[in-house]
Amino acid sequence: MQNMIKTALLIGCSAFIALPAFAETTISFRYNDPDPEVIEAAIEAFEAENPDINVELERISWGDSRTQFLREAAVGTGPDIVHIAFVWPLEMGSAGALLPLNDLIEKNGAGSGFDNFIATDLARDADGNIFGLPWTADTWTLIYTPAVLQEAGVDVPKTWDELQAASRMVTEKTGKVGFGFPAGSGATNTAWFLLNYHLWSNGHALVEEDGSGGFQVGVDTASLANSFKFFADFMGEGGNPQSNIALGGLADIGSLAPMVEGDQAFALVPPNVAKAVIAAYKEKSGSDDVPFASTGIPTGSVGGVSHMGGRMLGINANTEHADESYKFIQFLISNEFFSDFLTAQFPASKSALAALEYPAGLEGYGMQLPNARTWGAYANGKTPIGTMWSEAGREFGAILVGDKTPEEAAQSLIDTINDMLNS
Amino acid sequence: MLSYSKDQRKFVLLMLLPAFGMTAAFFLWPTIYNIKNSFTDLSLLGLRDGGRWIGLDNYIELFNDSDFKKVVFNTLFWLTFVSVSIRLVLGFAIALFIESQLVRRLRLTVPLRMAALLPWATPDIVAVTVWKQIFDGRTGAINNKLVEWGFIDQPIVFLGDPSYVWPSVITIIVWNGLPIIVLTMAAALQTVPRDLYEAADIDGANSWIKFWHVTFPHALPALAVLGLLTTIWTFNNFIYVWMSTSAGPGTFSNVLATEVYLQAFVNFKLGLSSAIGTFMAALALVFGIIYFRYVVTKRFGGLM
Repeated sequence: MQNMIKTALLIGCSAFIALPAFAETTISFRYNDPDPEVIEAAIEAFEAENPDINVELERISWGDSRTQFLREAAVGTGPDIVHIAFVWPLEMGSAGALLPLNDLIEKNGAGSGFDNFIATDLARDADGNIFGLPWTADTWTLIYTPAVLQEAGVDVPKTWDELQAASRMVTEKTGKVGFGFPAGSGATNTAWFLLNYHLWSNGHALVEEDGSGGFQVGVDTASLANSFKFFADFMGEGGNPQSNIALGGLADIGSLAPMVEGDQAFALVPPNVAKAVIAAYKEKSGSDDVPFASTGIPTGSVGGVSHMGGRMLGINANTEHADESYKFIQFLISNEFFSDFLTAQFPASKSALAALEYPAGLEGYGMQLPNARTWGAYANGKTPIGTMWSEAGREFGAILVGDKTPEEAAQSLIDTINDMLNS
Repeated sequence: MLSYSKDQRKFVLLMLLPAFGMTAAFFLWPTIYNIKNSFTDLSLLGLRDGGRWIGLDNYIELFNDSDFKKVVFNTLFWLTFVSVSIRLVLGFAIALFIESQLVRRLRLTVPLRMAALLPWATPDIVAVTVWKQIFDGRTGAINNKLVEWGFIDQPIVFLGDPSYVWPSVITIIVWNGLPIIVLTMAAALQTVPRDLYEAADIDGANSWIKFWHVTFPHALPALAVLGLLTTIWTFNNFIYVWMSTSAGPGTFSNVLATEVYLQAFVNFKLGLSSAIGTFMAALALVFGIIYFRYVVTKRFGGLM
């Protein structure tokens, strides 16, 4: 009897001691892009390698993700790991929503080193706190349909002015869409990107560093008005159908349908949209031949500049499982993850981008990425990008419906930015 | 007149206490919290620290902003007055038709009531998405037909051309919101005593006189309550405008509810957004008081 009790106690104690080794830690990862099955497969692989960590996948739309996470983090909740835009880590870090990753990076490393990531200026604040790890990279570039260009007798445009002339010519000669873009004025309008690319390509910027640690507006009213007018002139006979004024963004139904149908010459899009256009064309035609090509952003007086966009990964400041969360992030930023799972996106590391081979139709991204700049001063000052983005779209919309002249809209946007800088 | 003992009153109060508690917790406290925030510079990025007290600055900013006057006008006139008026008039007319002798004789009353219910069963977001496709300037069904029949040469950008934006948004609202008016008014019309119509017939009254002196007075109480409810539901509505136009083009169709969203979740100014919310609540309160005192109680008090 005594032996039985001793044996039972021994087993009990062993089980108690062994329990922590088998205890599962559950962490949550909120992923916002539209291909969750890829992440689910990756999570399965991660859990197989790390049986003590269970990862729960959460989903939310990009449109709601920033405000939802800020609300949750403020009251001590939210997912352990968040999928965030390049320009969010600093504002979320300053709001106390994201955990500084410095200690975790120092202890565990970060891929091939933190400096091997692109856009590190958007992840590290002035005090050296790192609030996110760049995960995927993208920029926008010009895709076009060579057959439509041939039909209209125009060459691939190299400058913004050539793009405008070619777009007009395509519509005049073929009745097809020239340079088609969503011209709606919602909070996540497309005009924001076009406007900035045009400004940057001509040596201007809405916000720039003032040389003494502060920030200032980097464009005068006339130049900004000129950029507004440049894109407004595309509407109608300029090659962008008037109906596009009702399209809120590239995700709107019908936004790129003419491209897929071979009825549009040019579009400025990020790689995931270009891939979606190619995939939609292949599905519709049943052909594997891609009738699209891509090239760099049209140039202005200082070149063709686009933004270095992408996603970062951050850890919620409220997490109780920082180590496990970071372990999962290390898995997500690994080369294996991009070669085995997330093959549709580009990794945000300099060495991986340099070694990347771009598939047919997407060559332009390889040409454009070296000419892409980060939002830099836009994200580091007192000017929330979301507010400027929304205001730029509203002002552009006001021009399109005749509420304001380009000059009035430009002055209004500059005043708004100055108000934010001086607040 | 009934009289209650002290114990009975205490018992009633005790029974009502949970309801009062719930109301205070879910309505009163958020209202007070929102009013408090409206006097601060609270930002979505500063939720942990809270906002700084800035007195009436948010309200001064609002009332000095000429764009805000346009937003108030859009909300009161287009979104609320026009869309509610159309729904009440059209809804009442359809209810009259459904409950008419002709439809009864054809045994179509029930099928028509079911048909009227269909838009109500469609979620707002689905309705707006489908209507956006119908209104689409390139492939929309309306434009296709108008071009095909030769009424227009070029498609109309219904949700992008200022001349058509509000009529288009109101069409969506009316389509989606009409059923509650139709069904409620149809139910109200069924309560009109038949013998009044018989008496009117004996007196030689024509259809118009029967409508004006029998049907309409009996339908008015229901119409009055619907008017109040529909006005408040519409006045506060965010979905229709945001989903269909994102408050654009420019700020052309911006209304108070979308302005609340823009200030709070695009510009991150929760304090300013709270001030707009408080202003909206005050407007709705004033409307409710006036409506009840002068329209409902005084005019139809005897019937309610």
